[in-house]
Amino acid sequence: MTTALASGRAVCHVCLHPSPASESACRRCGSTLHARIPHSLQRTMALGLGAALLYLPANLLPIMVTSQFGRTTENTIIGGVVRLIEAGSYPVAAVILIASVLIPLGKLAALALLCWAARQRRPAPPRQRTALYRVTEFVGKWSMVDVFVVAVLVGLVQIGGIMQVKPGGAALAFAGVVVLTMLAAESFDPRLIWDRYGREGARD
Amino acid sequence: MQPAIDQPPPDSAAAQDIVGCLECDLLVRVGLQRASHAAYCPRCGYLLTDATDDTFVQPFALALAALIFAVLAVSFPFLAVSAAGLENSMTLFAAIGSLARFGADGVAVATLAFVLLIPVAMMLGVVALCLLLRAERASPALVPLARLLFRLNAWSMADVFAIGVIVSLVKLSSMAEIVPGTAFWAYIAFTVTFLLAMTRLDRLTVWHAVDRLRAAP
Repeated sequence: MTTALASGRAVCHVCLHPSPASESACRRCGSTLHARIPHSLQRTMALGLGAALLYLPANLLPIMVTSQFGRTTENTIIGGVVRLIEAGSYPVAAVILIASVLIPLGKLAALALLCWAARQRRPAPPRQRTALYRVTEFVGKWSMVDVFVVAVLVGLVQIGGIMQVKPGGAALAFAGVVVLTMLAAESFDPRLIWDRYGREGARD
Repeated sequence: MQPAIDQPPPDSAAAQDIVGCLECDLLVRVGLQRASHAAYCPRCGYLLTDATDDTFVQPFALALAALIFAVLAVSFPFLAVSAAGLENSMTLFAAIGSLARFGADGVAVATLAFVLLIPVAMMLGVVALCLLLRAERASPALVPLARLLFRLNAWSMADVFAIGVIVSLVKLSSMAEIVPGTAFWAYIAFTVTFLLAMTRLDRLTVWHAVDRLRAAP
């Protein structure tokens, strides 16, 4: 078994063609070529840090403002989950809780762990870390559910002076969190997980 | 499982059936010509190719259907709500417009892009790509088109939006009566055909076909 890097090749991230590593563009599709994503760990951590900072306003500001019969209430993400639980809509409460709280936080923790492990001398088995990376990459966009709920409610619930929904500041902040975590996951190069494995000739 | 290779590949472009695993960098021989099943990386299990048929009929038909559903989804009322004798119905564009009207411009732009522009552009791309590949024309648009298509894939959120709409329905059902409109069902159908079209379009099969066209005189 030989890796592209060991045989002087760089694998194109678009078409998987292994071009000579000395070239700057893929021979098949012309995409920019790099054996490993440049500064992958720094980029991932910087974007993750940005997402973590934005996560604060995303939870402290209201995500939407509801007026019903002249009474105005501001809802945060957590407030929305609590209301759903009070109303007995447990499945929907679970969807929002998982998409808006567990996935973004879990994703940031997973990326931090992957970045940290990539620098360790004896990290966890590569297959396990690859599985963690795949989950992280797959779940990313699903956090956007709550933002889209706001979009639908704002568009729909505009009934004269009786009921009105307006978007709150947290909607943009939360959309920013999702986009930044997606970019962070995209910046992490999963090949770094296997690089030391190959060099030490270990087996799992 | 595919055989991993022991020798570095020769420099010739003829070594087209050797690909690199995107997730662990292993060089793997994938015999696409006779592949009738999916191929995974032998070391990390990454899905290298789905080995869908190389006639491109299915992704073409599915993408075309998705585009028709997309037109329906933006032309008809999406949802209607009635409370205390008053009624309000909205289209998809109107919903995004009211986000902008209340000052949430950023959210409006993001929603428009992730929910409509990117998925629709991708389906247009699939239709154009399949037509070019079927016509066996080595068009200069082929490579940029395929590149754009596979890069945009991570940023389409049609499926997420569909779930978001269903969550909204449940949230509102206690306060008001909601009637899903034609566009609602059209968008659900768009999401399903979109996902099917993208799974039936295999990355390596596309690049292999592009290679063949470019090699031909």
